[in-house]
Amino acid sequence: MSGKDILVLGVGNDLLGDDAAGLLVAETLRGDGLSVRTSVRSGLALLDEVVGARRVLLVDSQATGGRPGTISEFSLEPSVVRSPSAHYVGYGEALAIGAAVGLELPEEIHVVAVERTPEVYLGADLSEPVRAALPALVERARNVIQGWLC
Amino acid sequence: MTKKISQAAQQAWEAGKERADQAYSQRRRVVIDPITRLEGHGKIDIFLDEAGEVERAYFQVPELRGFETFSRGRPAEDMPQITSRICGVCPLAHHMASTKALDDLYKVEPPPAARKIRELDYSLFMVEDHALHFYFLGGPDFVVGPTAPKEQRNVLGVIAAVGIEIGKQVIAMRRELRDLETYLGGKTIHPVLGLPGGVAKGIAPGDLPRFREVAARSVEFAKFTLDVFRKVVLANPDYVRLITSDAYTHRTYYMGMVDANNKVNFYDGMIRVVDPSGREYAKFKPGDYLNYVAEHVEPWSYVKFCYLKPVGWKGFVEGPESGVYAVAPLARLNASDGMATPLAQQAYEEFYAALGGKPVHHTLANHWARVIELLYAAERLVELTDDPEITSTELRVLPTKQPSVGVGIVEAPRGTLIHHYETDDRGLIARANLIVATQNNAARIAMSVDSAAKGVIHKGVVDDGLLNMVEMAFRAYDPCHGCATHSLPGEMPLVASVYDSAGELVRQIRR
Repeated sequence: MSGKDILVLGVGNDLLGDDAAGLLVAETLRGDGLSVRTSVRSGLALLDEVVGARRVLLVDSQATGGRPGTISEFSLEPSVVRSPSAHYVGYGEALAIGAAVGLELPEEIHVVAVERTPEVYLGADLSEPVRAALPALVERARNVIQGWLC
Repeated sequence: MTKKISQAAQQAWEAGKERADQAYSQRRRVVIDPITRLEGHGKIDIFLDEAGEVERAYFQVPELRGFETFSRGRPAEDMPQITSRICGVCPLAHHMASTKALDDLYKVEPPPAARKIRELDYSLFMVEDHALHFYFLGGPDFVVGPTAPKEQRNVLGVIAAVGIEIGKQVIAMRRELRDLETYLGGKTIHPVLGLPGGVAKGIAPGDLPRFREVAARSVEFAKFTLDVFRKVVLANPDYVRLITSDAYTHRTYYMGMVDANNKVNFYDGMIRVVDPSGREYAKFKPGDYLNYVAEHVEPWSYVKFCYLKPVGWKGFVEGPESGVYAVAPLARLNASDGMATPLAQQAYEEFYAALGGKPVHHTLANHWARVIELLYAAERLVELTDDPEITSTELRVLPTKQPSVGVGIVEAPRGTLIHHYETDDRGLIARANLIVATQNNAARIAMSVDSAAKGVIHKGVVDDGLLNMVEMAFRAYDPCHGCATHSLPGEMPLVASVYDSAGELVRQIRR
């Protein structure tokens, strides 16, 4: 496993407060000499980004109702596809669709995500808890990559 | 500064939320409740009467207010980058509407090559988006079937029905188109192609063959897709009955952009409106849109419902006396006299011959109209890549005039998209008004959902297949919730809560 097999993908929307967290972390990791991409696209556009990479570290915010600033890690798995609209295709659905049409998907997509505040503010800065969590988010992301490179 | 903005946006949001919640709180209802990625919900609320019949169904989309406040004070030339982040599905539509608004703001006419490159980029995007929508999002209702078990009624069911090779082809085609969009757009995160008076990048002659190959493949792919539609949908009398059924039919006005010959155009032209009998009602320049488009607010929804100003708001009713109108593929076909390319024109004629002449009022015909537009966009790609000017290096006319007001309109995949900016004399935004396709369609979507619910829910009987019929009504429009965040998990499960006439929850359907 070398650095070129690894893709760091930061996803979010920098118009929408805490949603920018994934983009900010990815930009920080760009200095580490890794392959880094950022995307404000949603749904199936994720497939365009990850196809061809062996391992993907996906950095994003999440909204699960937990405490803002909490960091979670998990592997992204394909889920049941049920989206009624192009506007709501989720990550798991996109992976399931990619797998169904035989795309060359990564061996692993590891997610490092920070819980965001439930309110969405247009153009606002990061909330205090998420801003405070950024250094830890970067560190967790780097640890995952180190683990892959060992 | 940002603190003030977020408070203002939050207050507007809370006020709207409270208003809507109050409107709900007294009602008995079936709710198809998507857990969206925004504060607030897009909901279909179905209110039942004592007999379990549908009294009234509402569809509402949450909107994130505050964009106007957010834009204020920013340089106008930043808007194509800012607005392309409003929607994760159609960034290029916003980018292009915004770029055209800048042309108008600075009163600068881009050189012909720049216009053609913009239209080429836009056609790539339309092929990509329309193909995706047909196979992956509209397809499940028809290719798999509207009453098939829910676990089969998705894109995987479509792939099972039409074959994995087609699924692969859709993904591969889309990837090629996206790569070319990235070539022109400069980066994937959001395009930086459009500038006031032109474009930032041209096409190198050495790269043109690749564009031509993709254009030729797009036409073949679109022809094949039209065949799939004919075989799977048109050959099935049940589907044709469904498309033409009263539950999915509304006689409204239609709006779409047309070229000088009244043919459909996605990138530029006049806005044409036809009445429910298909006669031209109005034809106007983008800058005159405020004379024709007004917005109505309902207490139960965050969305502003657009209507034709000269006709007036008469409620959620159809017919020539009501200002309700529609946008999107079906509306574009109805509002035009045809398609500007030969194969799409044949398909257009076939469409109206099969559905009883113009205009067609069946909401679900949007899926067929979308395939016809896919073919047009693909043929247009061939025309533009064959144009000797497409590799010209005359890409920009520098703006010299003082800015004040600019309006730019394009046809987004889901309908007419309006960007309207007003600036001070330094070009800093004083006011920005955006009207997205979903707002243009909002009244008709609400009517479609209401009518579909009344058609399929009787005596309190609600099952998953029936609810899907209601969803189909809005799926044909693919409404956008605007400014969606990208937080995980990013999907929208639907929860249908069924209440009896006493307001008690009797069952819940999750999907």
